[in-house]
Amino acid sequence: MIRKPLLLLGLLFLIPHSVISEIVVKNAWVRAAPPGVKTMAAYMLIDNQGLITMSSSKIIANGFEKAEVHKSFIDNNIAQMRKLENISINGKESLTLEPGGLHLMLINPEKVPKKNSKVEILMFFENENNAEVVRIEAEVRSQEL
Amino acid sequence: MVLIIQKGPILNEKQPILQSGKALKQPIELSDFQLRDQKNQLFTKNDFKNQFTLVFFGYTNCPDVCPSTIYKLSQMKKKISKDLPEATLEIVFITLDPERDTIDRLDEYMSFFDSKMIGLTGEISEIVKLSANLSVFFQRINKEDGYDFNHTASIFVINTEGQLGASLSPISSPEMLEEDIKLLLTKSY
Repeated sequence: MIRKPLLLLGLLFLIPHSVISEIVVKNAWVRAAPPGVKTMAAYMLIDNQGLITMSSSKIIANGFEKAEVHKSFIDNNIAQMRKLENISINGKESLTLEPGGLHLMLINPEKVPKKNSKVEILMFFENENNAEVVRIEAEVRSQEL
Repeated sequence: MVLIIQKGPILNEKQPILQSGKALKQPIELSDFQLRDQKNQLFTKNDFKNQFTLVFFGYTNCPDVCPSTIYKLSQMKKKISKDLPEATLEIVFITLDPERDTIDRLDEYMSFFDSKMIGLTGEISEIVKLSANLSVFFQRINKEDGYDFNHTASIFVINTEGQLGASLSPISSPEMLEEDIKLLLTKSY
């Protein structure tokens, strides 16, 4: 008799990755920037298809010294920016990272990536039941209105 | 009985009503200042004359709000130039971070986004002359690996006389901004 945990483990290998992955990222892009910039911003839509809130406090962007979650806002015509400790998405909800709001701040590029190239970003999501690493390929491009 | 008297701007016939900001009842004269553009040319208040200019303040290390505004204004200028080919509209970006935003740095930055846009830098005291004149607030925020700025993100409209004619909210939609700028241009306000 196959023990239940082993059976589940076996089933996991049979289930396509997209079914077990709770976090799905769409439309990821990095704003193209001139040579010499120290920071760039990445935007995307993050969909939590699971039932429980998932949080990510660890983010790695290939080719950058570090990546952080930041929020820009304009209050009383004053532009401000705050670093957030993590990004959190409720179960069955999605979160949009967009210009003028939440974004991933990519800091100190080894070399500023060119337009139409891709930046690899790894976001480590977790909750009390699950942990997941999401690999994102974000296209470097101009903003669209 | 409580009598509420609402105090609002006194409008005259010339003052256009804007969706995205406010046209001043009486345009404000600018103080003298001396800055340098990205080609190292001197730029003074006289360089604002004989054209409409949209001015905004920022810094090139700003990763989100400043490039969004630059992009929005650059796209808008292209549309307005197409719709109103006789209008002369310039866009001027003034750095609040002259320590890092040198002339060369501004040249690189402006040519990446829109080479027709003017970038200004210079002595901080000269930048303050103009920013104070336009009631621009800015505050350096030090971080462990550098610094950012909180700053006024309004878009200022300088009229053909080189006076401040209106200020527009940066969070307005591109459509609203475009309509208002066209209104100001056609009324020569």
